[in-house]
Parts: sequence; structure tokens; C-alpha cells
Amino acid sequence: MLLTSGVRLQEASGLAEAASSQPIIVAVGGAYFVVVGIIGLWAARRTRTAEDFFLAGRAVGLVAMTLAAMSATFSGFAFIGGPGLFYQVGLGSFFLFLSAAVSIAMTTWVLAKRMRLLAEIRPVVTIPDAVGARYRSRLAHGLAAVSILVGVLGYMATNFLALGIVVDAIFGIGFEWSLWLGMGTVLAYATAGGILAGIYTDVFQGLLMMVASLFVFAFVLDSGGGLGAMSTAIVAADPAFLSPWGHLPPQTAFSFFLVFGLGLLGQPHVIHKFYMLRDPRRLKWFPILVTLAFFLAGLLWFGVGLAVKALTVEGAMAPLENPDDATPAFLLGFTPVTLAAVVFAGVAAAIMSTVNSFVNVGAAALVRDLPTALGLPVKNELFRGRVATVFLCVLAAGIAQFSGFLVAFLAIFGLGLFASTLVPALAVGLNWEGATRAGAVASMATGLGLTLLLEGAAFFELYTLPQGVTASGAALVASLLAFFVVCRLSRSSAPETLDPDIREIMRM
Amino acid sequence: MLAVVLLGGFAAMLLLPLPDPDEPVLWLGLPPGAAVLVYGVGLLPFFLAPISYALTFDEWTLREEDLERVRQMAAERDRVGEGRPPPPLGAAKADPGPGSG
Repeated sequence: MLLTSGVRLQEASGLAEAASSQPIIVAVGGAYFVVVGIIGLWAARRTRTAEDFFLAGRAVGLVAMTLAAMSATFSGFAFIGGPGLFYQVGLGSFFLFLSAAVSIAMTTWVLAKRMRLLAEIRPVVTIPDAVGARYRSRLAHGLAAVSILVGVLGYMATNFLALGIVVDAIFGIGFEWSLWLGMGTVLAYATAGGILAGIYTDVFQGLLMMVASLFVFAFVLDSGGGLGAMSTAIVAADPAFLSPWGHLPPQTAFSFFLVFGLGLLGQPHVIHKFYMLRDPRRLKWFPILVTLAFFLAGLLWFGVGLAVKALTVEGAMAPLENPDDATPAFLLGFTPVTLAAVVFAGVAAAIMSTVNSFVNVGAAALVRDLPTALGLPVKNELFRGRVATVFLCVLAAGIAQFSGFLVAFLAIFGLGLFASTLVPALAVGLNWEGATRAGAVASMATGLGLTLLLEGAAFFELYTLPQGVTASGAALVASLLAFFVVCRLSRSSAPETLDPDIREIMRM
Repeated sequence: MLAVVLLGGFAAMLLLPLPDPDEPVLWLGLPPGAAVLVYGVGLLPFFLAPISYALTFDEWTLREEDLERVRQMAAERDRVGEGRPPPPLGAAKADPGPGSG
């Protein structure tokens, strides 16, 4: 989605040129990069061990963890792709966002406490560490690592592509230079400061985006004459737009709800932040804080999509050639340029923060999880983690620049792959003593294989699931089924799969 | 509770008619079906669930004695050298890793 957003933004409307011609937008964008650089330097001085590099020393406060989790979840999609999708298909797109109501609560209830307590009694650093510890299985550990690496590479390449286009929109220096400038910035602070740099750049950009989102929503209401006036105008021209499904088939809307609602339980770059929280008792306030953060950031998604639709049906704005121009067009046309500048720079920062989270879990998978799964010694993790960070960043940026085909293919996996491989084994497995090693391996293999198969078939136009059901949704359901069926068949092995200390945590 | 709100909200959405283009009825600025989706299925559980979680946290989620027990388990592991504290990750020392499988 972000991919199409960026490509269309660059090719279609000239909005990128319009943005980069504004000195304030260039200045705010430049200031953003300077602040990110300063945070990176600060974090680099505090990153002395691999535990600092991958887990921020397990000493992150609640507010920082909350903002980091929110920023890592949202990426640039919430600010570009989300409003564009709303403008295109109407209220049905909001099922993506509404699933947060379920997923935040469920993630906290199901995973947060157990993962944080696991970090008290075991030397876990990564999500595959938790899978391996839960099932006492190197195979399960390795499958989780492979899934994460495949998904991370796809996410990173897509985000680098989008980052190049957004940076170009801010500075007007051309796509290739923008891609490598954006990648170089992320690489610098991700390599030097690891996840510590990522956490505190997330805090900075998350706070700024929440405030900006609130202001943008005020301009939305002002430009459209209030929520009621916008709804009346839209319903008169396009009654289905504000029906619960919008222009989506209900099955697709529910697929969004299912995959995104359950999917958050399997997002490694989000849930591994639970390891980092200094005091587990502070989890009490995590859902409230993260909900407020989501709500504020969601105002831009909902407001801009609604306002642009109302403005176009009223003739105050020309219909968009591509839906993903909704946010840039609204910002440049209906808000002060300073606010537009903050949001443009914030989108770049949001993408960079997401990439940093991904590259950190990807590097950990390379230097820690795969060697562990293969029975090889794990050593020099800090140095190797930095080398792996450089390798993954350069590889993903190279794919983004040179292989439009590969990046488009990888881009379709993302969230669905993580969900179908990690939700049953990790989220269910940490809550059900009947889960077995064979069930976990079967579900991860099913999720990995089926996601690649179905998304590949859809990408090459060989086969598409009927009735608007998404491949990610089908793969998630299939991996859950495989998990429960195989666990049932192998239930006699369940006790030997579970160490006593982990059982104790699961019973709390 | 969350499930009831979600199921009730989805059922209400299915039953409510599409808005009349000429004279739309609006609930809090949105057509009824949209209002149920945004305010009911979306925002109500969005805030209800976290508040419930915070109110029940000390009793149901993480009791002080549970945390104390976990820390005792960690201390016991430290004492017998089974895995806590974690080996210094930056050091050239092999992690025992999970068991075979």
C-alpha cells in the first residue's frame, strides 16, 4: 500500500514538486534529520553491549515503550495509505483501524505479561528465542527466525522505496539520492545506537505526529463545515461510501479485521518491545496510553479521508487521480504550510522508525536466532549485529532501487506472514499448556508456505481467493487450524514440551 | 464484555438501512450504520478494554506475589547457573540455547 502510495505520489500529480518547492517544508524536513542524528549520537554513546543494541538495556520506561510500539505499528501507512484507502473505498477501510480496539487489548492480555516475565527468568532477546524456549525446539526457533527474515526484508524494501519518494517530496533531490539519503540516515543511527536510538526517535516523532494529527483534524472539521455537513454531502453523492462496509465486500472488510486484529499478536518488531520494559508492573497503564496514542494518530486517517471525499463531491477539490494523494493534497491545500511540513517530515520519520525496528529484529535473527537454531555458537553479538544491520539495510535498499518486481512481490507479505507464522505458536502457545512442539512447527510451516503460495499465485495472477477473502486471512486461519489439529494429535507430548519455569509463568 | 459489544455492534450494523441520500438521518454526525461502526464497534471497546485492564491488573493480571515468585525463580536459576543473569550478549561466549528438537 505504501509502495503504491509512493509511486503514485511521484508519478501522478506533481504534489511532490509542490511540497519540495516550499522552503518551510525543506527546513522542517532538514531539522527532523538533524534531531534524528542527534538522538542517534546520544544512543550510540550508550550502546555498549548487545543487550543495549537489541533490547535497549531492558530499561525502557512505559511512555517511551508505548510511543515506540505505536510508531513501529503505524509506519507511514497511517498517514498516507490509510487516508487514501478511506477516500477510495469509504468506511470499509476503517476496519483496518478498528481492529486496533481488539488487538491492543488482546496483545496486552495475551502476550505482554508473559513475555515480560519470560525475560525475567530466561535470557530471551528475540521473538524466536521465546518460541524456542516455549517448545524447547531449535526447529521451531529456526522457523520463526526464517519467517521474520523473509517478512523483514519485504517490509524494509517497501519502506525504503516509500522513504525515497517521501524524502524526494521534501527535498526535491531526485528519487535515487533520496532513497540512499533516507537509507543512510536510518543505517547510521540503527548501526550506532541500535534499538535504543530507534526507541527515542520513535518517542520524538510519535509525540510530534500525535499533536500534528490533532491539528490536522481541527482543519478537517473547519474545511468541511463539521462532521455532519461532510456526511450529508457525501451521502447525497455516494450513499454507500458511509455504509459500514463502504465500497468493500463485507468479506474483505472482515478479512481486514481478522488479519489486523489478530495480526498484531505476531508482529515481532512491536511485541519484542515488551522485553524492554524496565518494570513489569507498569504494563498496567500500557493499554490506556497506547489507545490514546492510536486514537490521536487515527484522527488524521479518518479525518483526511472523510474531508477529501467531501471536498471532492462538493467540487472544492478536484477528484484525485490516485487515492494516496489524499493527505498531501489536503495538507497543501487546506492547512498552514508549517503544519504540512511537520506531517511530511513526520511521515519520513515514521517510515525510518519502522525500518529501524525491522532491521533490529532482522539483524537479531541473523546473528542470534539462526546460529542458535543450527546449533552454532552465538558470539560477538554486538559487532555482528552492527554488520548484519548494514547488510540488511544495503540489501533492502538495493532491492528497492533495482528490482521493482522483487520489491512488489515482497511487499505483499508483510503483516500477513508474521501473523500466520507467529500468532498460533507464540500467542496461543504461551497461553495453552496443550500446545506441542509438532503443532508449533506445523503451524509455522503452514503459515510460511501458504502465505508464499497464495500471495505468489495472486501476484502472478494465477489464482485469487473467491469472495474478496485475502490470502493473509486464509493463511492465518489455515495455520491456526494446523496448530490445533496437530497439537491434538500429538497431545501426549505436550508435558515434555514445556519447562517447569515457563509453565509457572503461563499459570500466572 | 468486549465480545458482546463487538457482536452487538456488528448485528446492529447489518440491520440498519443505508442512509437516505435526500434526507439523511445522522447520529453524532454520521449515518446510523457508520455511527455504530465508529462509536460502537470502534471507540467503545477502544477505551473500555484498556480501562478494564487497568482496573483489574493488580488482582487478575500481575499480583505482587506472582512477580515476587518469578524473581525468586530467577534468583534460584542464578544461584545454580541455569541461565540468569543472561550471558553478556556482547561477550564471546556461547549461548546454551534451547534444547534439541
